[in-house]
Amino acid sequence: MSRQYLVGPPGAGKTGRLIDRLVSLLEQNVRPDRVLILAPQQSQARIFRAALARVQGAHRPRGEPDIHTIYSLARQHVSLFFPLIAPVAGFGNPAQEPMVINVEAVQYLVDRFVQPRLADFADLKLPRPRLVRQIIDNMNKASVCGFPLDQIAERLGAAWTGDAQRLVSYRRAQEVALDFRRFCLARSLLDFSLLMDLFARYLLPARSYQDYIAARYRHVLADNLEENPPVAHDFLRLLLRTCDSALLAEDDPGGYRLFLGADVESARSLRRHCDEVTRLDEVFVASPAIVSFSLALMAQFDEQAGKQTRPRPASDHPLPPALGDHPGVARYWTEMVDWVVEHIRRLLAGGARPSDIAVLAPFVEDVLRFELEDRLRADGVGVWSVRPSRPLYDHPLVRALVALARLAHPHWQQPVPAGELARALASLIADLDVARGQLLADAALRAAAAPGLPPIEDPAVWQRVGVRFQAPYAALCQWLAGWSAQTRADPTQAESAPLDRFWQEVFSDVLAHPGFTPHVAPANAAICDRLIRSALAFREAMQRAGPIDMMPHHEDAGVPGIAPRPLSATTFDPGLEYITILSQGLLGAQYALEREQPAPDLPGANDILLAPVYTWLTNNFRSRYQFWLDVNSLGWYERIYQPLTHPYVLSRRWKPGAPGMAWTEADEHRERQAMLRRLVGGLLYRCSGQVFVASSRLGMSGQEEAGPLERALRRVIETA
Amino acid sequence: MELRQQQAAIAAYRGGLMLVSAAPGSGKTHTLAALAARLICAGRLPPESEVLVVTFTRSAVDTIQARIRRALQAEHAPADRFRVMTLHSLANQIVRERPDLAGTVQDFRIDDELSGRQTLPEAARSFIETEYDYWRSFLPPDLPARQAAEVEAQWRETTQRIGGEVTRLAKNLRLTPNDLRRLIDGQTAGAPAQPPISPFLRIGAAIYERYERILSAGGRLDFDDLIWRAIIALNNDDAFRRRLGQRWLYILEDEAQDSTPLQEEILGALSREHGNWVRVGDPNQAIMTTFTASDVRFFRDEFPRRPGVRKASLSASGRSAQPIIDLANRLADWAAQQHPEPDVRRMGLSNDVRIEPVGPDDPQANPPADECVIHVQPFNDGEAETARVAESAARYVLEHSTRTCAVLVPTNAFGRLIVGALQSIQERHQERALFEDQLRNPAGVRNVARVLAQALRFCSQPLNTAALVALRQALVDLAAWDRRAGIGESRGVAEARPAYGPLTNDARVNVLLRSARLERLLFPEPAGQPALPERVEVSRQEQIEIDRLAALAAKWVRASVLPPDQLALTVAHDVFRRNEDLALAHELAVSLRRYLDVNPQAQLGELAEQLDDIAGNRQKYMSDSLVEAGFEPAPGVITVTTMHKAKGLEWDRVYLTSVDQIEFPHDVNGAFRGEQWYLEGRDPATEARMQLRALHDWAIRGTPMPDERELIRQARLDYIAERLRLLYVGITRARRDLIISYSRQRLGRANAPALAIQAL
Repeated sequence: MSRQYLVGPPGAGKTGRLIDRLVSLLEQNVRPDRVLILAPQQSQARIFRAALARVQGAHRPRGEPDIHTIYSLARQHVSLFFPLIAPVAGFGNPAQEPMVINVEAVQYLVDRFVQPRLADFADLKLPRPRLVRQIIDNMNKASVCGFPLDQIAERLGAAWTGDAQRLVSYRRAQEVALDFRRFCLARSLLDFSLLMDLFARYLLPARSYQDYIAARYRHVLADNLEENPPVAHDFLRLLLRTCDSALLAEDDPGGYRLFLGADVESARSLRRHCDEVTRLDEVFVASPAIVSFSLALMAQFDEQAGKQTRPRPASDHPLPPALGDHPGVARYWTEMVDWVVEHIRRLLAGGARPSDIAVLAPFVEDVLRFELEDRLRADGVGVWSVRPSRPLYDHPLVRALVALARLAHPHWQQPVPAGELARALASLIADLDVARGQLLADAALRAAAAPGLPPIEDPAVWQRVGVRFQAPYAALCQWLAGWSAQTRADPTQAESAPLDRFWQEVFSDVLAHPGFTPHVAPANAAICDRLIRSALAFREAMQRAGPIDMMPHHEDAGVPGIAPRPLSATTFDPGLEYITILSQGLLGAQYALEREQPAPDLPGANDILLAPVYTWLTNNFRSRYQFWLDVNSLGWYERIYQPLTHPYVLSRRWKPGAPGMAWTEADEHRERQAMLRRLVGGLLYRCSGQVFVASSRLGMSGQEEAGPLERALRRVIETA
Repeated sequence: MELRQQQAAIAAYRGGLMLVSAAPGSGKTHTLAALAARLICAGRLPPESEVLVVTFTRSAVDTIQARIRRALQAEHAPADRFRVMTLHSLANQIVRERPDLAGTVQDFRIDDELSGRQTLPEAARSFIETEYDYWRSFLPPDLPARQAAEVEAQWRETTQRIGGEVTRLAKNLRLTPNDLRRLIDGQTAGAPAQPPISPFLRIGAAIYERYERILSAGGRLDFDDLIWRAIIALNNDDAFRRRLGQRWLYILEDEAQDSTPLQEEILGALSREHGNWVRVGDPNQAIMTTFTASDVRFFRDEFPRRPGVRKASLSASGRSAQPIIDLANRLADWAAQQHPEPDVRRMGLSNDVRIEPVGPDDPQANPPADECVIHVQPFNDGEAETARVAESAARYVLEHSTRTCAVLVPTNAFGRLIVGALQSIQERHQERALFEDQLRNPAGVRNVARVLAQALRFCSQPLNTAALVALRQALVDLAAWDRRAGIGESRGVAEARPAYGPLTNDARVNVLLRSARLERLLFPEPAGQPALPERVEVSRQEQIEIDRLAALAAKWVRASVLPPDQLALTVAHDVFRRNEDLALAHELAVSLRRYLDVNPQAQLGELAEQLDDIAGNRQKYMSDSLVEAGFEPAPGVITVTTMHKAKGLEWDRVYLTSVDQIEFPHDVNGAFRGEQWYLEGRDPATEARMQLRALHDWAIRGTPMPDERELIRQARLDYIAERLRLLYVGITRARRDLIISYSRQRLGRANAPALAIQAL
């Protein structure tokens, strides 16, 4: 067997070949635990697990192949080899067991370092959480590219051409990163960046580790190489020297996880270490009409596109079969939503299943989801959305769980107003609407003698609300009363009854039972689960981090709302702290969580899928029918620009100090065109039926936009 | 597009710098649109380039867009290749395109009138608290207790104004708090011959510093920062600036007399390579210079001196009858030649461009001169003036239901008196609306805010029938207002309110709603009990109405689990159809989000209160001019508004009130607004602003630094000059009739008509 490199568009059968190879290895009685499967994220790992489950019954193999993302692999191996690397990596107490901390804890801790230094960043206009996130981003990018933190400012500075003040800001952001790193090293806390840094700069070069993996993994299968960061490619390069066989696959077009450090060029450098590079050009997902449409559209973003007057001909396949209908150009945003719903209905009437349909937009706001849901409810169709960047606190169920926590912790002195309680009850109790929730909330406030949720005895209330809600309400309020009694009896309640345990117990004792939404809707249960795990990991990290005393060393003390609260061990309540940062929106944009969490659940057969374009692509979804919304929006075209970080400059190919390494407008333009080209290609190759494009002249914002995607679409359609 | 001769000459422009002085009513919007269309049709725009039109107000954006589209369609040209934006949306787009260069992020937070309403007061409060003794030392020490408290409250307010004016100007001069401090300290450390720094400027600088610290803590920007950031982005990457310059190959700037230094810098930077920049404005209508950063000097005096600037004028105007035109021209002549203060003659009104009537064949011919009424009416006191003006205006609209009419006031306070007088007349005429109060927030803004407020309030109390009735009333009023404003036909929107449909103002529906069980009405259970008491008769029409309202209300209550700004958007998209309303509703939704950023614990009810404050005129919101809110005068309805907000509009009959020497002073040694008796007649905010400007000019340009007396004199001259322009604006709003009034007694003292009126 050989080292083979597959490259081709999505839908060309690469993953199928990887699975075939896995099956054939097992059939040849290769020891399963000598096989490594590397996927860029958990949702793809799941495909291999499913395939494995199918063949395992037949082959009864000894052991299991290792199915990993680079993060899960690094985490396992760093833990395994920690005693080897801890003494050289600068840990204050190498003998102390390391603790991996979640992104919430990292954001919280970095924020504590940022707060007293806010004045240092006065020339930037950033909400504090965004400042914090950029510093974390930089640390993460440095680690997955394999360069030390103290190179961040230098690299960013070499690419910067504007005023000198920015160079100072780069350096100050780097100082925060270095301080945080020292803090983690002193306490053996492993954030994502430190973990990956240990893996890239200490583990990979170690001879003993290299010997270990050479012996451990004799066969390697890796999918979607282009979505992985360079450190994953370094690891594979080591294995390619020693393994018996390798099958690596690259999607082209691809590289959507750029903002997480994905590096297409670094992936391609592995071709040199393979015996054979196979190009797969025949696609099995997209129809010929779609493929020719895709080529014509992608050609619009080729480097010479501006000078071309005609796009490449759409070959033999006319556009209409590819394009579900002529673009829906509405005047108002709601009319666009109506147009989409109308076409979804037609597709369903024509025999399509809801799960065949994906609605994609550069940004997905709550109001879009709500309006789609509201209109499709009558058709018995649901909307399943994947929005990793949505702030956790924006979810009604999360707010409801926070309200419960506030009711149960009166010493926090965060009373729950009636309206909030009404919405919380409506989010928790199945089928209860907000109006009836308000009836209950009002009655509860009238009856409340002590903090908490009082029992409601008044039969008139239940007659109005509906007796079927009596049982779930009673269950909830009895449980809360029991919890309060228990914690009141225990003087050390903050330690014995932490927030995560509160949520865990109210979930398993009450909410997971009939009559409550988490019981009815698995997606709600998943959110509870996510919140509980997040709060737990946060608490554990805080226990390890210990008290943090950081007083402001600037003159902010006199200005209200600015001075950070000093924290000390005696007053520190991780639950209250968690609730505070949650409700302040500090826990938002949780894309980093994807690395640590299992893949999102799959939509039900009666749900259409709603997702931001990039989320859909990075999850490697496929949909027979795609609706592209707001095609006139600049959001299709723009990367996330931030003043203190840079995905291209903080990459491996960007060499600081080399001449011509300033990041220019020309670079920006080239990369934007290339990204939009990859984006439309990626979407279309994953589409087996038709594409519907829609826009509204007055977008959500009430302002007109005219992005390049719309112009390109128009040119292609006019020429066809 | 039909163009007059002067207009055609301007539309023949093909490149370079051009300055167009346009008289009131001379059709500058029309000309700008024609020019944009011709530049596009001339076929010389490269594929990725556009014509950029920068206007002052959002509704001007819509008007110009529609006109350019029409002109292009007439030429069978595709209706694109142009962008019409306000300066804020231009700055917003530049920053959003490369926030990294601007030092911010895509979803930067703007401190607007709602979310930022506490920022400046908080900064001022913080200053006063920490420097209380110093601050208090400005006041007379031996006042009786009650008077002391009153004076302290006034001084507090003034202090906040000092902070506001210094902050605004400092940002327009691109001075950070540190820069400003250095400027002040450098100055005092200099030679003893140099004049001392006013303590008011120091106070302003201290408040600016605190204000900035509060903003930074939340990572927020105010609107001046937004424009400043756009310039930073352009300066930080020359290739980026050149690319945008290439994209907007022609820049047409409307209302250029009101532009600020920052605005000129942005447009100058964008046009640096191609130099295609057309500035259209009327220096005689610059009426914002003494309270904003706008500065007519650049447009009027400096820009024309640049090499290669072509000058053109639009003087033919079909707006007013000849006698009104004559009056306006005579005012300009008098101001430019005979004003008692020689300095005002060059600062106030220019008579370079005289208004001329159009020819009799012009489609917009001037109203007949022989029917024109111009009248100057003295009254004994303010009470008599308000009462009689209100009566006269009411009589006019009752007799001329097809004519438009406005009462223009110099101050909101006087306007409220007029509104009060009109309200009592209105009580006798229930059959129709006689007037619209457009004083603080225009009715358009108030209507949008009111509907959103009532929707949010109802969602916060979904069992409250009174809240539902109030919500319904807001929708009914909105529909009525729309019908009166002719929305539905004139704007090409067939059904103005598709979500709620035609509404009757049937009080019975309200009675029925008050008796309903709302949980049953909004969320009926299958085979559940009826929402209305069974003994009540409900007509078919009433049932339809109630069902429609219930469906909407239920949807919004369901949406109330969303973040409040998203709830507001849901409501807005169901209710509003006009561009201005939608855009405004979106602004308000964004303001709510920002408000929540600052006040994370705020509940729906509190947000509804914030919106109520706008609807109830307690909080100003995006309303520097009436045109901004998409206002158009309705025939047979009196508009009551300020002379400032009337800019850009016209009425058949105009009442100009309080045209006296208090509002329109002429003597630099007289009494002036803003001057505080307890500070020995000083006007701290103006003094601080004037000194900052002078200090900056001294440091940057080396112009001599005037002493304190001279600064005060200049401030007064500025004010005299601007009030003359305001009077000019007021006069030129009238098409057929102009009634000018004043009181012989006002504010407890004898009063005389403005000198200009006496002279004319």
